Amino acid sequence: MAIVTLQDVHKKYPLGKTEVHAVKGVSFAIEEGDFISIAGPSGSGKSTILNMIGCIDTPSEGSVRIGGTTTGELNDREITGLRHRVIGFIFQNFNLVPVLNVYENIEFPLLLGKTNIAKDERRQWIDSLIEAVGLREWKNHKPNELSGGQRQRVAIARALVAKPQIVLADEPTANLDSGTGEAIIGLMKRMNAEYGTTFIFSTHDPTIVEIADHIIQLHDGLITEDTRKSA
Amino acid sequence: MAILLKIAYRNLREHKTKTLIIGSIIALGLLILVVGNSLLDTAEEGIRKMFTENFTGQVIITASRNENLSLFMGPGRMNGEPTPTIPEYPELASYLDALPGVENTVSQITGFATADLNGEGNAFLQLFGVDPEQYLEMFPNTAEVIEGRLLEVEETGIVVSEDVVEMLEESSGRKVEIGDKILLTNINSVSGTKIREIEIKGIIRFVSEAPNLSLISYIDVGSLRALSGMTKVTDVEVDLNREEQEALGRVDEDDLFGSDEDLFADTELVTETSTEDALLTILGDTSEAQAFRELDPDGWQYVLLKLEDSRSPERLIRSLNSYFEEQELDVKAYGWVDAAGATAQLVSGLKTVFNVLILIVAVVAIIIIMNTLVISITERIGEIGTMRAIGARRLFVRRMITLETLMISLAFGVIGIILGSGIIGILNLTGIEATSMFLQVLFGGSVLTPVVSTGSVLASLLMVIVVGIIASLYPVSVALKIEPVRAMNQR
Repeated sequence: MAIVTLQDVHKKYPLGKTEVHAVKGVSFAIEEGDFISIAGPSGSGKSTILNMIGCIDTPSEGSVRIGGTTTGELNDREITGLRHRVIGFIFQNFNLVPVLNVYENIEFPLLLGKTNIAKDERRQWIDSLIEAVGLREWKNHKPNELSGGQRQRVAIARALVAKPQIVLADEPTANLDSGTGEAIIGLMKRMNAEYGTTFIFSTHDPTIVEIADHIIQLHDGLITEDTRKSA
Repeated sequence: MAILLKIAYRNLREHKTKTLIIGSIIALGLLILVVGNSLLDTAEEGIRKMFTENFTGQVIITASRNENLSLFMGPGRMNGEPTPTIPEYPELASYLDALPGVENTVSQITGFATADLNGEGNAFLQLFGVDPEQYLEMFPNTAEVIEGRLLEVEETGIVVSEDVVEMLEESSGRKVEIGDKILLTNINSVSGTKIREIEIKGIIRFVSEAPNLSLISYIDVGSLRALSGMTKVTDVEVDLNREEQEALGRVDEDDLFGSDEDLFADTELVTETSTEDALLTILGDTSEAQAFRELDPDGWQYVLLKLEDSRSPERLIRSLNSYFEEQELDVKAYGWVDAAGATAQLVSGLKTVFNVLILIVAVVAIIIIMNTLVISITERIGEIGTMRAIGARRLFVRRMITLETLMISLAFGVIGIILGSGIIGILNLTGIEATSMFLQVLFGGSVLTPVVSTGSVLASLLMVIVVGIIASLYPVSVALKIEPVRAMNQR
């Protein structure tokens, strides 16, 4: 069942007096539980597509549907709610809240909305995520006391904490050395298998692309290849 | 809320320099506010006490058309216009005597005169015409007698102040004795010049010294009424019949004096019958005119009220004024500040100037805090964008920024208040002495003993909260414009 559907999506940006056509009519569907890579060189439109799936940008033309909801029809409050409930984010620069420690950063999304999880249950769940990303020893450390790889592990745990259906990762390994990058993708893959969460990540690193089950290749805002590996 | 507090507190701690810059401005502002307010409150309280307990009471009542509300010297008094008397005084006095909440009342006339000591020396006097018994009952501690005694009821005489005696002695070169007679001269635009000789019965020293009080002398009411020309005639309207009106209407200077004829050519101006008695009978019966020249026994300019609860006279003033309106009495009630005149208004003036300065400091503080916060938010675009991306609503961002501002404002505001209170405490311990009469008025006594009132502290806290909220408005609007996509673009 498709959890994300893009239908003839275009995105145009004004750039001074000209217009940049970043995405030129892209259509594809992502199934629930997919581990999908959107690959392509810089400027191919990877991040733009990811932003539109993450409801933090809107298409100039066409439609993006998340779990049956057309995102263009929602107001700011509904969009924020959708992002909170359905989507988790992993950023290239980790984007952790600098004044919060590892535990608090992971807990943060749960504190943004009404939650029915009891305090003890919440603590256990966060601890299990910290354990899963291998940061038990670093639980009380602030982001500036962690390495790049460790910060991205915190970001992965934070993206998963609200049990979203989709996790979006924009170039999650771009600021990491190759070994750490591979380890991070490996962790994401494990989480995908363990929690059944759909992972969509963008990258231009061919070695990392290959780990994905479903690869969408982009070039100049158009899909050049949409490959699904057989199980 | 806990997470907001945590983030706000840690952000302030994390950005120490910015926090200290904003905090120092807030603390300094509050320190100035607390110290300034305390000093001004002390001056105001001192002056209020000095006037209400010694000269004015809490409420004064005077004729509605009286424009000289102050009992003391001032520019309004020097134009020669007599102060109007209270109409229907007996009715008013009996109403006030029965008024609940009023501890004491005293009626008063205020006047001015130059005093001449046997042509040898002179002085300028401010005269208070009062019933000595009533006055002493209401203001028992206003002055101490240093020579002679106070006036007795219905006794004619004057009790002069030490300063007046000093002026008379300086100009005459001789000592002023009890029993000396002085000539008082008063001029006003209605009754003209009036001169009265009066005996000095006592010399007093005012307990609370203030520049414009030292020339006050207490005189018997009758003498002051005579000096001020307060006769019954001032309140009488004459109705002329038609013939009299016509006769007056026809009067023309040319008819009387226009002729070339010498009216007195054949008249002997001085005859043997021109005695004083004969001259006095020329106008016939003048008893009616004499009656009009009699002094008005109910001629009073002010009634001063001392209240049982001195803290809130405003309510009584309002109810008195509505009663006067209902009864169509041509009188009005005012507070002690109006009765005290320039000295009390000096403190109000100082307060206004101080508040304007505080307003300027507040505006400068708002601008500095606002700019620093905007810079801080610009540095946190990625963080705020991330929060928005992972599900924080605009309200969360608004609360986060406002809370940070409020936290810093309150924390440093409290530090400012504590420091300000400390300075006031040190001033109290030091016990600065008033070296001039002006300072004595401002200090509300001979030593400065300022206090920090709860009201002033609460008002300062409220002000710092308002400043914090206003200063955060623009930074909040900048933060709310940060779109979640900025988190992705954060490199």
